[in-house]
Amino acid sequence: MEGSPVASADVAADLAGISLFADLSPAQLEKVASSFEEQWFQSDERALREGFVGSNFYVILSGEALWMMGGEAVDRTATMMVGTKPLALKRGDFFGELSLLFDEPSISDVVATTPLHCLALPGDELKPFLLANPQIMYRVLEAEARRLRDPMRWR
Amino acid sequence: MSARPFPPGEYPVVVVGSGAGGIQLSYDLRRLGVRHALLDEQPGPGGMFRRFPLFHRLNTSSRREAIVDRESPHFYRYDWNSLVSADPSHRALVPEFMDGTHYFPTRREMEQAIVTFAERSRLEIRHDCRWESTRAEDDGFVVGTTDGEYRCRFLVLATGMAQPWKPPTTPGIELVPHYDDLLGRTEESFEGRRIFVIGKRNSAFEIADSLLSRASQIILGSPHPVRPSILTGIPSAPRARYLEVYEDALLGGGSFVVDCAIERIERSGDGWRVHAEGTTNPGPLLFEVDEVIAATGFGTPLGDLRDLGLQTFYKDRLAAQTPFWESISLPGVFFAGAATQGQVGMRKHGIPTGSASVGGFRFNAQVQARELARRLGIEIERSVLDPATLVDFLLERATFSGALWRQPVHLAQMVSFDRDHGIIDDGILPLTPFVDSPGQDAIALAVETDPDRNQQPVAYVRREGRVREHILGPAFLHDFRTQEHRDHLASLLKELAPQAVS
Repeated sequence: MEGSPVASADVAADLAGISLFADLSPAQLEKVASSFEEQWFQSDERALREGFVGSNFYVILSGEALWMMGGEAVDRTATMMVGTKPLALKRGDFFGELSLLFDEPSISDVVATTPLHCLALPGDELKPFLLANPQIMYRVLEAEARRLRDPMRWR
Repeated sequence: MSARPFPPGEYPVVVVGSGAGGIQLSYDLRRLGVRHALLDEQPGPGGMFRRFPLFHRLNTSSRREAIVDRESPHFYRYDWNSLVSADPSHRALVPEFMDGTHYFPTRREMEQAIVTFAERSRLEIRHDCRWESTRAEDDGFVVGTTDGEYRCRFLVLATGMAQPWKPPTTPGIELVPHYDDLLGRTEESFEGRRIFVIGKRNSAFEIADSLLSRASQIILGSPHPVRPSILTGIPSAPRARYLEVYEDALLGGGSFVVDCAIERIERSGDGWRVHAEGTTNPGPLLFEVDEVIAATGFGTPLGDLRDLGLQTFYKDRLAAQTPFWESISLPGVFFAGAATQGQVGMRKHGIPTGSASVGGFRFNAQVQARELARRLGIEIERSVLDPATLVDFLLERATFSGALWRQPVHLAQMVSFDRDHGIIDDGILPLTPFVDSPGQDAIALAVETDPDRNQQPVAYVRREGRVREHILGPAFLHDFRTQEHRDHLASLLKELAPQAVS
């Protein structure tokens, strides 16, 4: 398992090290930390479920996960490249935003491949959260652009 | 005087704590024939309800009257506080003690009901026995107590969510009292005082509401805006009954509810200075007050388990748990009672489990008792259902089951379809492992709330290893025994159990 066996007592300090939140002041980090809930997933547990509604927006604090469709690991980028080794989602990566932006059931699973520690924001809070935090919205946009630009290099 | 029960020795299961969680689990373990010891450091049962809530009634309701009889198991849907009994005369004990002036019981009424449940069920508890140490040994644990050592295969901590917690990084917060430290202080002692309460959850609002008629000014401060239950539909969010101070703030009555991150707290003469930074409206803030109270929450007492590798989260206040409330990092250590909120469930639409309160966790205990029995090799009888009444059975559960209503999107009624054994009632089980693992053809029925606040049954149908979600839709007065729901459910069951819909 990644990280210390005991969780940080200071989530705001932990968030400061994640690029999505890099532009925030300490007070803003405190507010963001109290907006999200923490969630642990066991290995093989699904954090996102294909075909299910009501999912959340997740940011990974520790551990790894894979995108999967129809039981196969996939590289969720603009051009699905045959033979590309699926890239693991790791600390600082986020997922769950697509089904929330489109307001439709998730098109893929996200499956924990190690114990996975995430921050979770309820789906219907994502839009007001991003509108209230334009710096985070810009970071999300950057990350999405990177995923579009180069499936081989997006990490 | 009779000998104290459960002397030190070897037991398959040791349960620590005789609050609502420990007592419910012990009751269900005994029914299943699981030998165990129930220990508590306190001189009597009741757990946190021996102390809390400080000033007020509980924030979970128990109806004294409902559209079903008190003796009916369906009454648990309307009575969120009574422990669950197979004996009809032991049900609805909390309403039995309530005097009819309120539908939120007092602390004393709740404590009486727990004590009475233990007495009438003839539960044995070893009191005045404190858990002091733990070590892993062979295929289990050695639990050191003030009475000696207990060896067990499974250790269950039902030690509550009642250990005061303050954010460790705020300078000066160690100087001010926590909610817990107010025990023994009267409401009168706050007469004319200016009070800053750190926090905006139920304990903060409980204090503010209690002192509104005494204090000269009340200010609540924490980083995030208030999200009351009447807006979120989440029962653990600040409840409507505590929100008079919030209304007072909105109407300009002299109270304030401020979104701010506390930077430091310092003494100033006989009072305090609270330095903060606005969050919703950025900028430095300075509050000069007579009293500061940290209503910053509670954690689970975890003893020395962190040293054994227990994974925690929620600012180190809860153990991370599997769907059966076992530590994800320390197999064999389980949690019962309010600590089971460390298993957060599917959290669809952001709705948490009901495990923070008795209404939800009493059903976790029933599920956990069966899981512990199974792990100890005790076979549990499951009943075979009549195909002709399967649809009615499921829709009645969706309409009345306390477990489904108090543990939405978390616990579900399971029915499996077996070629050899027929249609099997698998009882109430956690939803997550059902939807995330392959298995035989089956259906799980849960009650869920959607973003439009519709409360409705959702069926998860597993066929050939793949689980699909089917939203059955809302119904007038939450009675799902409609032709529309029957037809919808029958269409889902057609392939699983053709005999049920012929």
